[in-house]
Amino acid sequence: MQHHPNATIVQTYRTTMRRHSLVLAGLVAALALSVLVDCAVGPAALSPATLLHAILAPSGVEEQTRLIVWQIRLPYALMAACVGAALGLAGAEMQTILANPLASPFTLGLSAAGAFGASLAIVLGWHISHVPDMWLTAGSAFVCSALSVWLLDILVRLRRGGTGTVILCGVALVFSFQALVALMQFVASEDALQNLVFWTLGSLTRATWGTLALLAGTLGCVFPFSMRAAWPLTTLRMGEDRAASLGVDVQHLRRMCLLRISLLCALAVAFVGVIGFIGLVAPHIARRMVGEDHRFYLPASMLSGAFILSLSALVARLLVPGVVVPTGIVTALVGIPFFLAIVLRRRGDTP
Amino acid sequence: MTHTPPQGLYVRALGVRYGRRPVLEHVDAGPFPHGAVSAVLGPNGSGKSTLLRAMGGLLRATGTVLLDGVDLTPLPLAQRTQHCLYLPQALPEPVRLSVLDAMLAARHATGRQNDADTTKDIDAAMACLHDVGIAHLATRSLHELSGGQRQLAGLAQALGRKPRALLLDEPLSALDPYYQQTIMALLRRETAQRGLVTIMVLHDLNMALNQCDLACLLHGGRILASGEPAHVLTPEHLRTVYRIAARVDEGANGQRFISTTGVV
Repeated sequence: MQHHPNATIVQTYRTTMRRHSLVLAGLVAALALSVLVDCAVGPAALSPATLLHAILAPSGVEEQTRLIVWQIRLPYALMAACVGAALGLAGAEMQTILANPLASPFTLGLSAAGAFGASLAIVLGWHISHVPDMWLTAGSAFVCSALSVWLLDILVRLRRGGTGTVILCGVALVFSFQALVALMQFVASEDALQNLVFWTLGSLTRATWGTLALLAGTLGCVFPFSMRAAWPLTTLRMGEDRAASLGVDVQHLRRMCLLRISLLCALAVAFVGVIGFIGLVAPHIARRMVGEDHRFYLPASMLSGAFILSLSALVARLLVPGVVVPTGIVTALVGIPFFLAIVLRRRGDTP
Repeated sequence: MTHTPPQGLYVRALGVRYGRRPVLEHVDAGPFPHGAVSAVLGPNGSGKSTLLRAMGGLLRATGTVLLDGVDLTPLPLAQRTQHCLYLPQALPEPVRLSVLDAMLAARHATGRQNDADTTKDIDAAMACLHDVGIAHLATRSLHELSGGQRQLAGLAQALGRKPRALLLDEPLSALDPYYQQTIMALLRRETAQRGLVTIMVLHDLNMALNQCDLACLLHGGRILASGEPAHVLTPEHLRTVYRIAARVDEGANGQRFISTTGVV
């Protein structure tokens, strides 16, 4: 074989690619395992064999087992994975286009806006005939969080601000929407208040096959576009000016990313309520594992998000026997130590 | 009779406004020939960066920018950077990305090439890294490199795109004397070898005087003088443009140097 001058480099490069692919494969395996465990654990404990049987050949098992698996456990477990994936992917893109390691749907007010949207629908008692109230609440939450993304974009563009401005505008949005939610709570009736509090805690028990299909479908449509933008996004990490100088239309890239982010986050918030920290933490974990090459970073962040939320969902059901603790509470409790670890590790090292 | 288009980079009637405030008005500059390193000089706020960014297509501008007789202004940014590439003043950010990955990202940033082949891509990238002398850093991550090394990596990214004109915004400003000299020597060599039109914004007047082929002095959004550096950087011009009292001396080794004696 002819000796190639860069053979070693090519070899090293291919090894790195393979290692990163293995990391992704490992994440997929971990996710699949955690989803299965999530299905198996519960008041009616199912053996792995029964569970697999119920999933793969539903007609062959008892009616009751089939109902538990297909109507309760599977939607819950899969919704956890899908919401985690959506928040992980959205967080990763958000941190890249805003060039800020603190950017996430939660810290920049998307979740708070969603909660405000839901509170409008719940407290004001909106009804439209032939539309279930749940979809109406979800729709209102969706519209509000999507609007908050565009509001943030406009604020930042008006000020032509750097990364600090983005975070400050985001924090302003968080507080404004929280105040508005508090106002809604203040004027709410007792029933509506209970509904609203439960909604804002963030819970996966609301998952149905309908909402799951919509979210999974959106994720499936959005992800290829994210991957197509992987190279320009990688370039963007080296600086906005540099990306532009290499011919990347940064405005267009950013707008398309915001569109994807608002779709993913707003849907996730609309269906399961406020779930913090996934969109913030998953990108950092992905960066530690595969670096900033967005061909790997984006899927790694998506899978990490799915895995963490899937685990949290499991913990949420094990924490208090017989009760499903709202997942939002669990992710926040698990997320805060993660978050602090990242912030405190920053010195002398880029996050 | 055949008509050969004028060679090199020309700027004709270029105008840029920030909001309502005009920064550049009716600037004519050039020709900046192939194979020569040209310096754009001027005090802070004189519009040097704006001129380069407008020429590179990063700012909306009126007027025309001609490269070898072809107007670049109607081209979309992705195509335009194939001909004439602007390099920003900020160094590449120290992110977790290997130098080689950064090279490949720059290559594919405007859409993956059809004849993409990993080995070929890596060969091309390595050739550029060899040219700028950082082939040994190929697998190191940008966040581990010094500012000078990252500047070299950024330069390699630019050269890897094989432009015909290179516009550099203060490529030496954040660097120590070793890297200033290294990068200047590198730019002179690559400019000659590749026949590039190289234009750079400089603040170091002595560097412009001794190591550039041409100089172009901006004053209040207009070009006051252009030509050989020795003819442009005269005490009179320095007094008008920079508001400094200065004299130009010739050293024993034939180098000229500007010494400043105060402000006017």
